[in-house]
Amino acid sequence: MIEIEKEIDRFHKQYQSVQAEMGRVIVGNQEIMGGILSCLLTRGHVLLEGIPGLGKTKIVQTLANVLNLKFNRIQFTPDLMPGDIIGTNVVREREDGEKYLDFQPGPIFCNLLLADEVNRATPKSQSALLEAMQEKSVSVGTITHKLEEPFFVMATQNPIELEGTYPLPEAQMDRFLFKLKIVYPTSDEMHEIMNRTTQVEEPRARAVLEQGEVLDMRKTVLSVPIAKSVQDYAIRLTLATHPNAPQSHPPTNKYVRFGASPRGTQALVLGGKVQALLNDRAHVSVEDIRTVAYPALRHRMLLNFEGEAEHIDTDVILKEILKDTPGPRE
Amino acid sequence: MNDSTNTTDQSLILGFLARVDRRLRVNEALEGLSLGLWGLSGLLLVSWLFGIWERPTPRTALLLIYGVALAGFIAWVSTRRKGLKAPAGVADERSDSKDALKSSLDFIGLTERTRWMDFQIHRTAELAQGLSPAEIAPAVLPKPFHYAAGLALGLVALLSWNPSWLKEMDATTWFSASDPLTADAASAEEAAAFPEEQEQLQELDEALEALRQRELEMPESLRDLQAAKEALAASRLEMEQLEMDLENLGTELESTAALADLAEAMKSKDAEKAAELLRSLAEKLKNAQTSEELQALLESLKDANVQQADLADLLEKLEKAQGNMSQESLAEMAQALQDAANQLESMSEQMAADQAEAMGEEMQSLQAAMGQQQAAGQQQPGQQQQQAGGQATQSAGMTSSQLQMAQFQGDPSSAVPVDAGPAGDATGPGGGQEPVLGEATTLDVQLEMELLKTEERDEPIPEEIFERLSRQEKSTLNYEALSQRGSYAEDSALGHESIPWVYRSLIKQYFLSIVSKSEAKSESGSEK
Repeated sequence: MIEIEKEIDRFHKQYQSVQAEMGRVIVGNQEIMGGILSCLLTRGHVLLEGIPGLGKTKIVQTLANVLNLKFNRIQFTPDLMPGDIIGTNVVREREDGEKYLDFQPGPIFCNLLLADEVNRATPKSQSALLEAMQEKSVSVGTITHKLEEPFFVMATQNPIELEGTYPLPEAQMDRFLFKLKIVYPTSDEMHEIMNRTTQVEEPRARAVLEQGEVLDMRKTVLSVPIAKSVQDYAIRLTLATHPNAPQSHPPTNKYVRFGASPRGTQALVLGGKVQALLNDRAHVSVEDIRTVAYPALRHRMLLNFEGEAEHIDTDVILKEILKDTPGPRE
Repeated sequence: MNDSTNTTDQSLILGFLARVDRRLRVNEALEGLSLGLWGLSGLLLVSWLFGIWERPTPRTALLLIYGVALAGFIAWVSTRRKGLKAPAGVADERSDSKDALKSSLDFIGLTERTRWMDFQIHRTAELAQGLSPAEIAPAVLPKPFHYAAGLALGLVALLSWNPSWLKEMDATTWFSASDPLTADAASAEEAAAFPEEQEQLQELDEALEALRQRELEMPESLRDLQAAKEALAASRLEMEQLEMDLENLGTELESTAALADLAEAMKSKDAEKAAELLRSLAEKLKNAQTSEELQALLESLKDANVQQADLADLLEKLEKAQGNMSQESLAEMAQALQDAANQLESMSEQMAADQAEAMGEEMQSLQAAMGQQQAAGQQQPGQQQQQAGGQATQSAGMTSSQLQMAQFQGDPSSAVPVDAGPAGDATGPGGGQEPVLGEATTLDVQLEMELLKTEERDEPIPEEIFERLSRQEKSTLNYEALSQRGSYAEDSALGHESIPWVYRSLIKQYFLSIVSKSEAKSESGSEK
């Protein structure tokens, strides 16, 4: 009993220390940082969306500094090839003159991978991340290379530039646990950003968490139990995103072509577990599920032609779903 | 954690939830009771309205049934168990424990539990110890309960006391008065117009009331009822006599050319029209400018050799008018004629009421005759009408509606006294006119009218151009070249939209139709 309380307490402290350290560099964006940490602690990956200049890359870089993990960055471009991401076999020559194929690992072999402007690469290159994100391994030829835990992909994309970009395939999109939207800073936050970034020395975050500690935190999160009634609520939320389903809502039927997959429910439950721990609870509540519903489900709903034509935001549909879906039944 | 601690925690949670559940069921029972009290109020009202309350046996039976039903309902509400999930949900909501009780209850039901689950159960047990079931689910009398109880008690007290004004307010008669088949909107006016009949009705009411109060014996009641019936028959005879007199007066006035219309109206028993003509005569007298005009009117009135004595009042007034004319007091003479007109109008109303009654009887006999003929299936519809009309004439005498019918069928023997408008409409055009046909309702005519309407449009609407070209598979419409009716203020925030808003829905529908077709094709291809 006391052990678990200590575990929760430790989780709290570690989480807060990471947030505090990131807060030395990043102004505002507390929810974004929380979302990124939730994905990291639940074996997920995160997609950050926002217009240029809002600090997407900065957040990811700061997180890498704070966690003291191996960090790589790939700038996605239209001519990027899968081999540039996962690595390739190169011909080498031994001292005796014998030649052999040696695997040269790509930048994907790291703990934290920043896939910057992921939608600028072709779907072929984007798909190179699929296996790595889901299986945490990379297959080259006949050999499968295991990636080191924690493996965490943070991808960024720009929502307004459409020319020269390739929208992420649905399968790729579904592999991101959360999709976080970075919003424009407020006036006060802008002042603070100016104060911090227009001086001789910019503040730097120091490492506060080691690899092992991150893995321990993951275990703690996954240990949090969830009641069947609350889990049922998460499932009903997911099913409500499906058009023409018994649980679906009018806006879903009108604008959605495909709803969220079971990965969506996983994202809800896992995100809910982090929220429960952050609220010093040893169980997931409906409120936790509702808190993470937007980032967990917004990118898993595929709009139909009508929805695209009318520029419908999936957040609007989710709002309706959350409003109309009742809490756990008796 | 050892097992005993675990059991204690579980029992603590379950005990707490059971207490909350009991309180919730008490509240439900109170709600049921308030509902039952509303029902009791309704029952009391119904029993009073239908006179059940004054009879001891049905009243006792009704209250007994109600009491048993209510007790059964409350017992059912109090004893049924829906499990502890509902109280857990209520307790979570009211204690703001973020589903702790509900989750713990779920975990308690599991056969295999992790240490985290046990930890949660322990935490919830601690939470439950700090909570009071009375605070979570306080036993509160619902607001409607107070109103319902007040109303029910008030009604019981009132009906038990049964004051004199309540006795006078005989609710059982309300239903007959409010019945649309029997209620007459003009009953009050009739009461004023026919005081004798009203008196007879009053007597009937008194007799009925006495019968109800059991003050009268059966023979007495029958005698009273017989007397009332005879009085009503006498008043009907009187009315018929009045109508006959009016007809005779018309015949007498017939000889005077100036009063021909008046005579015609009186002969046809159209008292309303006659009143109107008398009024116009009064107006003429008032407005007569020259002595020649007055003299002519006087002569015409004198020529009218009125000898009918039964319409004493009317004639007296007409004579008064004549007398006033001789004294050249035009205003008084006009007033006398107005009075005569008013009297005729009241006669007209009475006659209209009689006509309505006669028409009802006639319709009944007509329906009966038609029903018999349809069953037999031997005669044509025209013959049926004639036969039915004949039967009605035999039974109820010739009425105005029959006169109208005869006129419409071109029967020259029938008089043409009433107008050709709808029955009862005394303000319509005079007799002998062609029946006015309504608006043409055939489909052809309607279509022709629609065609004319569409031809009125000078220029085709843009949607029509678009659809026409689409149907011909020549949809090469340059949207940008079309005149833009939508304003740019309606454009998207980014302002990149080059297609006017007016046509967006059309374009969307077009592409949607293409999408649906291509999907259908691909589905059929895949099936192949």
